[in-house]
Amino acid sequence: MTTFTPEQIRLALLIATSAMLMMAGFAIVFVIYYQKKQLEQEKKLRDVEKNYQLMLLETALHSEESERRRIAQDLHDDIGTMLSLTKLSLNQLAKLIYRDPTRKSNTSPDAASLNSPRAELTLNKAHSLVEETIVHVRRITRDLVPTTLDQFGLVAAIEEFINRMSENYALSVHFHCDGQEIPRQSPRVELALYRIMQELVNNAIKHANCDEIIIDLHLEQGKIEMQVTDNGQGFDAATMKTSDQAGLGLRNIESRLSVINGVVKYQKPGVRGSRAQVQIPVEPQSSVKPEPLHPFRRAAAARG
Amino acid sequence: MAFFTYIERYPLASSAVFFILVPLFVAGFRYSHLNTAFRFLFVYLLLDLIVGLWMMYLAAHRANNILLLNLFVPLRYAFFSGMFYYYFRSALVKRIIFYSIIAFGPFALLDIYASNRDLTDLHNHLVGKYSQVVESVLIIFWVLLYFYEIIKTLQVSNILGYPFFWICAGLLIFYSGNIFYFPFWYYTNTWENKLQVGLIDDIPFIVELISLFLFSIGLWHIHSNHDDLHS
Repeated sequence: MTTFTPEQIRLALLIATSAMLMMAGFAIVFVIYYQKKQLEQEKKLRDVEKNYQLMLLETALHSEESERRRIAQDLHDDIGTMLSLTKLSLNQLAKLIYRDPTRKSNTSPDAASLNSPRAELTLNKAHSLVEETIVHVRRITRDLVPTTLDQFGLVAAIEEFINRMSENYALSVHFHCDGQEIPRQSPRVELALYRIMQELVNNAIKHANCDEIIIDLHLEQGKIEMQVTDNGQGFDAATMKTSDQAGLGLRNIESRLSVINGVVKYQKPGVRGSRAQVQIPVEPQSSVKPEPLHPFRRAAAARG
Repeated sequence: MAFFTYIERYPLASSAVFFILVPLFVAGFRYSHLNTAFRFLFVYLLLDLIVGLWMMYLAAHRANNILLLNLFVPLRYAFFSGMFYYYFRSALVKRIIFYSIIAFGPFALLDIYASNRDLTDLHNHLVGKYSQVVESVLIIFWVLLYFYEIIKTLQVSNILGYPFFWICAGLLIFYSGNIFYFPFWYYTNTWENKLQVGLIDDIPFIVELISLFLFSIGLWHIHSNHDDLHS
């Protein structure tokens, strides 16, 4: 039987213990390194997924705007033109009826009915209906594509929107903004802010039962802040978001903001009412000329 | 007086005992935030300090202190594996740990009985041959299994700030440094020690100091929501 000397035992112990300690140290370092690496990879994967989702969202929003533009263009080019032609035809018909001397002397029953006051009334009614339809089509076209936004910027577009609101609704809408202070942003940012403002104001009109809306646009610590405050019945944003139908508008606002790195907070300014506070980072306007929002100009450019 | 002479003669062994005060103090400082597993550690450190001081006192007066060590081994295993019982998620692993704690007590007592022919002869009492080795294998296994769980689940976002990771690291260092050394204790811890291993005798104290230091780091990282894995 082999016997080991104390020296051999000491050496074997030293080697075994050192090896074991090295393995323990390696295990600890490996866990730290591997875990960090795995987390980094997972984070990268999450970022890719998030970017992909954002890209999808941006594409969806872009498609929505393109579709609005197409509808606006169709309304203007087809229906608008047809309505103008109809109006022109009615004008010519009126001239033919009232000013043609041969028709006055015509004693046939048809001619007599055309010259009657009833016919005149019907013609006038048709004329005013066509004019009214033209006005409506123009309004819908403007609502679909805010041309002022592209030409004069967010402040002018909001002012125009408020003017239109004042014509149609019995409520007072106030807009506070230092126009000089707000720099022009890229078209997608301005459009997103405009659509969010539209959504918030529409929400206030539809659901808040309010008679006053205040829109405040200003710069706040390097961020553009837009506040839409109403004096209506107020709402709980958290509860509203979980609701399938009611929260659609709020989710839409958040989707638009996620594309432009913005945030929204809902507050209760007082006993009554609600306030939506939107913040987005100021982004210098790109040197690339934005795509024209006006459907007619775009159509003209395409033809040119 | 003999006590202080012992400290002078064996500074490393003594410092390993006194160093227990460091994690104990940190645990006391964070006591309100300790969960059940860390309270186990706190009680273990307290007992370890008492047993350590008692063993030093006995050694200083040339009395056999190995019985204390033998009885402390199953307790130590119960405390350490009890911590893992609270940290593992799998019900099966928890059950295995629970049964291993129950089984290890009688095993350690049986080992004391088998390693000492005459239990009444406390003067020549010897260290159990197998209990500490089995304890080391089991704890190393629980530590590695827990490391595997951390890697697999990826629920700890900042591992260096996660208290139980440091406890596991301390346990791994302590038991890895001792696993090959424990079998020799039966032969080296005798009145007439024929097997002198020289400087290697200091390894248990060194790894104990390192593990206590790592325990202290772990305890220091404890705050109110340390069980929140993302903290």
